[in-house]
Amino acid sequence: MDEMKKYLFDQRDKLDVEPAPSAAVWEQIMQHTVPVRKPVFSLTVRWVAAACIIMLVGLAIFLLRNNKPKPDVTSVKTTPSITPNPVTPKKLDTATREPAPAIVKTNHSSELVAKLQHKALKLKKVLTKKPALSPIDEMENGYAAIINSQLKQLESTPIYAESADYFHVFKKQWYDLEKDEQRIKQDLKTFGFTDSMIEQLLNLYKQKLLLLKQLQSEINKMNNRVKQIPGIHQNNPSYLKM
Amino acid sequence: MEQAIDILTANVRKASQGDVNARAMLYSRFSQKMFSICVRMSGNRSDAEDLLQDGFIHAFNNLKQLKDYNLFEPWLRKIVINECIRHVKRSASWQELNEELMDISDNENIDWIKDINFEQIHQEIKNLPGGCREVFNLYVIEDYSHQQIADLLNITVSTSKSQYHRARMLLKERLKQFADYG
Repeated sequence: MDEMKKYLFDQRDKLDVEPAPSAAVWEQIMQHTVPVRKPVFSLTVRWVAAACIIMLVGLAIFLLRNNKPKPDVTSVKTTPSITPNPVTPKKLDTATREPAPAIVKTNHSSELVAKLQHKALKLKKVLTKKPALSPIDEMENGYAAIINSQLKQLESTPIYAESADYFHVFKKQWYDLEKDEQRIKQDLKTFGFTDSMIEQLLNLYKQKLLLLKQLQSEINKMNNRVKQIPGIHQNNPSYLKM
Repeated sequence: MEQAIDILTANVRKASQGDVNARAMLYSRFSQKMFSICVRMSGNRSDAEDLLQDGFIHAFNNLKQLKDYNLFEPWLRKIVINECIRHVKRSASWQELNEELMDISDNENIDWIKDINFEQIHQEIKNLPGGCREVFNLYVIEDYSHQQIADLLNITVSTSKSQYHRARMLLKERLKQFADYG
């Protein structure tokens, strides 16, 4: 068994340490790749539309169920007037039946009012309740949670042998993405949700995540290299602030 | 991890539909790794940039042929290696070496190499002479057999083996020198 071959093959990913190529390579690639016609409605937009329709249907069903009228309380409650009051049966026996319903009604009317008030309050809450989050909001919240988590991890990673300014290229890219995000969100408020804007926003979140992952990877690689070089001091590490 | 794979497959799908941002993301994610392969194969950055460029152009123009988007990376790697092999066939010249003079055992102790950092190993592979450098990369890093290398480079199996032994001997000398003197 060729031990050297086995060792190098198993570690081949660690050999990929060549500094990045020049920017001109990407420009050439862009010029020579064939553009492809985009579909009018992307799959994402179709899924979002389907999710919106399902949510609207669900909300409508929920509201209808809550607004369903309850049976008339008075008609139910007057029936006890026919049956004698167990506490004072004699009184009911002597009294005529006609006043009895009035007494029961009076006793139950306050209950009825309380119940109606409670129902009205519930209905008010339902009607004034904030609508469930749209799929767009849910998507945004999801991505924001992941991005924030990655960012926290990055900003808590110590950097040895270099200052945080070493990664100024990544920071610039990050700031550019943040500016783009603000611009897209402003456009969404102005023009509403369109297919291309939803796509742009999705792509932007993905780019942010990719950038954070790349930066984390660069920092990890650098720290690993430092650990391999004897004599390099690992005191006073710096920390990145995005 | 699953999320990372989902993001990758989503990007590949969008890239196959012509999305420029998705292609840019794939390029930024894989360019450094593929460039390292090109540099090790060609021995210089200038040729490597041309090979990288051709590899990505071919990949993006034929992305619809990829059925399983999870396999984008190995598929791209294959394309880039093929570009490198085409370059080698145009430029390399082969000399037959006496295999009997290559006195290296396959089972020799390689603990010395584990103390050398990978940047240095990468540099020394890159600096190997043409001919043996390409065979070394294909045999060791890309795990091609000598028969496959011989077929791809239009050389004999014996030439492939002797070039590999030569590369290994040179690499060992240079890396040990580095280990001894820094």
